[in-house]
Amino acid sequence: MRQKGISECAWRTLGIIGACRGTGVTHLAVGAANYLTSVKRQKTAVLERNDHGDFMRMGSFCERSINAGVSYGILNVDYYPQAGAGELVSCLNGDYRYIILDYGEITRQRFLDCARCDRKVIVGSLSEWQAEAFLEIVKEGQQRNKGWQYAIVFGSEEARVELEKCFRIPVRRVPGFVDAFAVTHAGIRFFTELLQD
Amino acid sequence: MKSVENTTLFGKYQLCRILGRGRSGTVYLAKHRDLEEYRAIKQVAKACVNYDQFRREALILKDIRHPGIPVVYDLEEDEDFCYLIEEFLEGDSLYALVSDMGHFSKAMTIRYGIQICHLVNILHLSKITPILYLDLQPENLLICDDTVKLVDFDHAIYLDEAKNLKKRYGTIGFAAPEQYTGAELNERTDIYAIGAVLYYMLTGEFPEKEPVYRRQQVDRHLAKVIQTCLRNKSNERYESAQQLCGELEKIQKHYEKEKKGVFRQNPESFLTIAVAGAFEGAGTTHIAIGFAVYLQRQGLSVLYEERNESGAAVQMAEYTGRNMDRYGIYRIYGLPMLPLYGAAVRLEAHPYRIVIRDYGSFQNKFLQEPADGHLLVCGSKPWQWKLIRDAIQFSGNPPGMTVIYNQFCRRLATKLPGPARETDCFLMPDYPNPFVLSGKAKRVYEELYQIFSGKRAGGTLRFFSNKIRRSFMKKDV
Repeated sequence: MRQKGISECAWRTLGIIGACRGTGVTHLAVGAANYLTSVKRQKTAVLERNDHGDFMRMGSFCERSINAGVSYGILNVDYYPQAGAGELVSCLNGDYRYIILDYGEITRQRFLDCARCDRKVIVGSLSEWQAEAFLEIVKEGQQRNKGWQYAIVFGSEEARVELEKCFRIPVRRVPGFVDAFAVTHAGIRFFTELLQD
Repeated sequence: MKSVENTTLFGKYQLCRILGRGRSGTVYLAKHRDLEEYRAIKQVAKACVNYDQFRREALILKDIRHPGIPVVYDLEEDEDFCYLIEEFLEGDSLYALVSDMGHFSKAMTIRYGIQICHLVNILHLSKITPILYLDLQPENLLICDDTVKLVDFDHAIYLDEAKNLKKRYGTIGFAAPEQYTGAELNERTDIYAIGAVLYYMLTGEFPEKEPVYRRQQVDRHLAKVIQTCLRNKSNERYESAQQLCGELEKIQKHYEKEKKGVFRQNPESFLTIAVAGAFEGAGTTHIAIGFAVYLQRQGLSVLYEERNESGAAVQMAEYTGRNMDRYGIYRIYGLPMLPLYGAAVRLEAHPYRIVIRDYGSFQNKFLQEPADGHLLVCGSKPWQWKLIRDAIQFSGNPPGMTVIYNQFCRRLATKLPGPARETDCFLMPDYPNPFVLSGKAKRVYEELYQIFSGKRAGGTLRFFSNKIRRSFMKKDV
């Protein structure tokens, strides 16, 4: 795997956090990791920084030997289930070019942790039964560091455009890629814009 | 001012980026958010054109169904602008390609010329009434997957309207004389433009009053065809695009007869050539690119495919500011280049028939993966001999492998570690730019081409006298 000099990096850690449960944080994290590994050809790790247990289930489904905090690989991406501070430090000191942190649904502590990442994405939904949580976060974001990016998976185009106009922030629509482990042309376009240096 | 990416038109077209700006307006790439398909949206200010005039382009396009002409989906307007929503055709303009490559080879010029004739013929034989395009020029011709597409029909008219045309437009250098003088416009006006485009492809220059071929020897038949197209008097030009096409096809057949082996017997056949170096820095990528460029100039549909971890293709793409197409391919200085992608990437299978695979070092599956030919790139300096010997020995001299001694300098390399006698060897001199072939490099690639095409066995070395052959070191292999 080609290794770029770490000192040349514009960003290294990507934190992804969801406005609520089921907005597609893990899906986006896995998709981003596969883009960074398979298209940018950079060594990438994804750390599960929530208590959902999705990574253990994923590893089990893919017939990997799994233990909390011990990584396994799928398509050249290393996944760390239930990763703690120790695993994070180890990855930061290692030779990963990119480290993606899946924070799951937002809590105060996870939000503060996510804020420390070089890049931060809040994933939400504008579906009528999920929109409120996302809108609350966007409103609070008006006072926040402008390094945050917003992305939605579900919800009407009118609602997304209205949100952009109202808060004067870009809200990207995550393209419909049904398989997080398959990076399509649409996915490449999306991640190229989202993750550009 | 609202950015392009934050704009949605008519509630359904999400603008992505600007594709181009022209005389009449701006063309955007947009995504139909419900269908998740891309569209090209042409936006023209109402101050510049009236709606009826704008609508005419859509009416002309809607009557034509051809893969080389974009489908028109809709016509819209708002207070300030008119919009034409068309099929998005992904490709490079002929202008951009010729700028990148300098000029096309004769074979490429004829191949694209025939396609242009077919497109223009479709317009001229339109069922309702013939359509005159009247603005054929390199920026209005796109090359998509090696196929020519015609875009921008804003100056196209029906033949019976030509007499009443009040204002005439055209592109200097490509517009026929009658477009300046007000004389009659007809199909031969477009024939003139085809000739001008042929000249441009062949020379990289805009045509002057008399075609002048400064850089290269031009086939006299092709020169005569171009000259006939560019006659000042329209009645002295070819009568139809079909007739012109016939002339080009005759010349093409003549070229085809000169080709032998796999390139002639079955021009549609697939061919893969694996290239690897005896060591890092041997110049494998340079040779692989150079060979691909040479084959492309012969009019072949060829792709450079990166099969090593160098990331060279993406770096070149970033340097030249190129975007990938739907196959993940970048067109760099006119050459299609496919970077190495990881296992997660799912892109459409590319349409190229000939693939030059750059494996980097010879240890990278160079011999394990099937290919129709193998090129081992070695250095030629004395301090590289051990590495060369090791590589040749490791490779085992499989049948059909060819060795290239790169950056050959006669003073330094009076002897060379050689492979088995029956292996073909070539001496490649140093040339700085793999996208611009020197005369000597072209000769080596031509010899290589003839080997793979079955016309001639034996490398350049074997054309020299026995003196050079004896200078080979005793074989360790």
